[in-house]
Amino acid sequence: MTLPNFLRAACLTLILVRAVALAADERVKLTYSDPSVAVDTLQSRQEWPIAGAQAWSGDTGEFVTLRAPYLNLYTAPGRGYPIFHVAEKNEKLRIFKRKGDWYQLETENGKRGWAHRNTLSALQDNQGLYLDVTNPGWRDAASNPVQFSVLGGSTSGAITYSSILGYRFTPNISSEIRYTQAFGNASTLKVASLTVVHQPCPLWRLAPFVTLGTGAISSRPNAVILKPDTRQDSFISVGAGLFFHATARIGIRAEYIKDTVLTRRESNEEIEEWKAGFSLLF
Amino acid sequence: MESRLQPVVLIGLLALARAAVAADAPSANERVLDDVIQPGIERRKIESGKIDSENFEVGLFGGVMSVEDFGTNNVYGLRAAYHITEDFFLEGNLGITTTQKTSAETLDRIVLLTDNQRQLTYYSVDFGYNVLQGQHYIGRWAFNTNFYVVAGAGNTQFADNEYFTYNFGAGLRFFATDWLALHTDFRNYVFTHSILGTDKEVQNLESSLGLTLFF
Repeated sequence: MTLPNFLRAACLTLILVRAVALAADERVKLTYSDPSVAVDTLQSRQEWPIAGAQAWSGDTGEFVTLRAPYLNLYTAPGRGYPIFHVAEKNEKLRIFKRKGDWYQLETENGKRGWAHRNTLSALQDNQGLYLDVTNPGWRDAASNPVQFSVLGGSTSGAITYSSILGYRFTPNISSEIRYTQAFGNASTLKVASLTVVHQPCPLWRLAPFVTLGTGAISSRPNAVILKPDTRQDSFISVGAGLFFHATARIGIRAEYIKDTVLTRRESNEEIEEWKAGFSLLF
Repeated sequence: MESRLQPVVLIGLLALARAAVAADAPSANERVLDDVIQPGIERRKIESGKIDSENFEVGLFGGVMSVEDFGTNNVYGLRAAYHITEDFFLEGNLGITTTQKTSAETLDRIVLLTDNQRQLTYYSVDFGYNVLQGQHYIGRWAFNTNFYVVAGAGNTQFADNEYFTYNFGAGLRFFATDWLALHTDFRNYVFTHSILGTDKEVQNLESSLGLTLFF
C-alpha cells in the first residue's frame, strides 16, 4: 500500500469515527433534553425531608432523594426499552449498579429500573448535596493507565492486525506488549514485541508519540503439501504515531513502524507497518 | 442592493437591542432568575466504589458450523465483550470445530488432510452495534432483549495454515436477568484457502446458542 492510500484510509477512518461519535452525542442530547429534570432551586432545601439510609439497611449503594418533578425508570439500560415506572419528586431512591451511562435505581417500595445519567441531575444525598453523575471528559484519560488497542493496517502490503496491551507508568512514558499478525501472499508473519512509548505532549487531545521496541518475528510460508520451515528472527523497531482522545475511555490511534529484522543472512531486512485503530482505556 | 442592506440593518438593530438591555438596571426579579438559570449547586461526585459497574460480558457458545467442502460440524467456543456504550460493544471470540472428509476424499479414497489438520480453530475481534432494543413476552413475564449486528476480523487455523478471516453476523441477546443473557447468533466467517488446489474464498456459516454473564 502506498503512502497516499494509507493516509486516505486513515483520514476516512477518522472522519467516520468522528461522525458516528457526533451522531451518537446528538441523539443522546435530543432524547434526554427533558426540562422536567432541571433542578428546582426556587424553594429552600430545608422544606424537604432528607433521605435516610435506614430504608435499605445493610445494602450497598448511594442513597438519594429525587428533587426533580419525576424520573422515568426503564426496564433495562437503553433508550429503546419501555418506561415501566415513574419515580415522584421527593421519593427516596437507592443507586446500586451501573452499565455504561445507565444507573440502576430502586425505589423504597422495591421497583427497580434504569435511568440515563443525563436525567439524574437532581438527586440529593442525605447530607443535602446534589450528586454529580457526569462522565469524565477526555482530559481525565490520564486517570486510566491501562490501554487495550486493536489496530488494522498493512505490513509491506500484507493485511495486518495488532492487539496491544499497554500500561502508562508516567504521563509521558508507557510500555506496551504487542501481538501482530500479517497475512501475505507467500507467508504469514507473527510478531510479538515489547515497546516503550513516549508521549511528549500527553495533555494534547491529539497527542503525538514515538515508539521504540524489540521482539521476535516468525515467518511461515503458506503451503499445503510441502511445508518449508518456519523462520524466526529478532528485530528492533522505531515508530511514530498520533493518539486522539475521543473520551476518557476511548481513543483513536494511527501509527507507522519500521522494523529492522536481524536475519542470519548477509543483509538485514526492513519491514514497514502502517496501522490505525481504536483503544479502550481502563 | 436589498440583500446588502439587510445584514447592516440587522447588525444595527442587534447592537441597539444589546445597548437597551445593558442600560436596564437588574431588578430583584432578574436576580431570582439568575439563580435558576445558573444555580451554582455544589455537587458531590458519585462514589464509584459503592456502585457496581457491569460492562464486561463473558460466556460460552455452542452450535453448528458449516465449513465449506468439509461438512457441517459441532462448534464450541468462548466469547467476551466489553460494552463501550449502550449501543456499541467490542467482542472477542474463540471457536473450535473438527471438520469431516470432503466428498472427494470419501469417493476417491485420497487423503487430503491428517486428523490433526482437520481441526479448525478461529479467533476474531468484532465490533458490535445494538440495533433493536425491546422486550419479548413469555407467558406473563417480560424479558428484555436486544438484536445486534457484528462485524470483525481475525484468524483461522486450519490444515496447518493460518488464514486472515473476516466475519459478520447478527444475534439476539435475551436477558434472563440483568446479569445473565442467552444468545442466539448467526455469523459468516470468510477466508481464502488453496487446500483443494486453487485459491478459493469460502463462506463458513455458523449458528450457535450461547450463555453469557455480565460483571
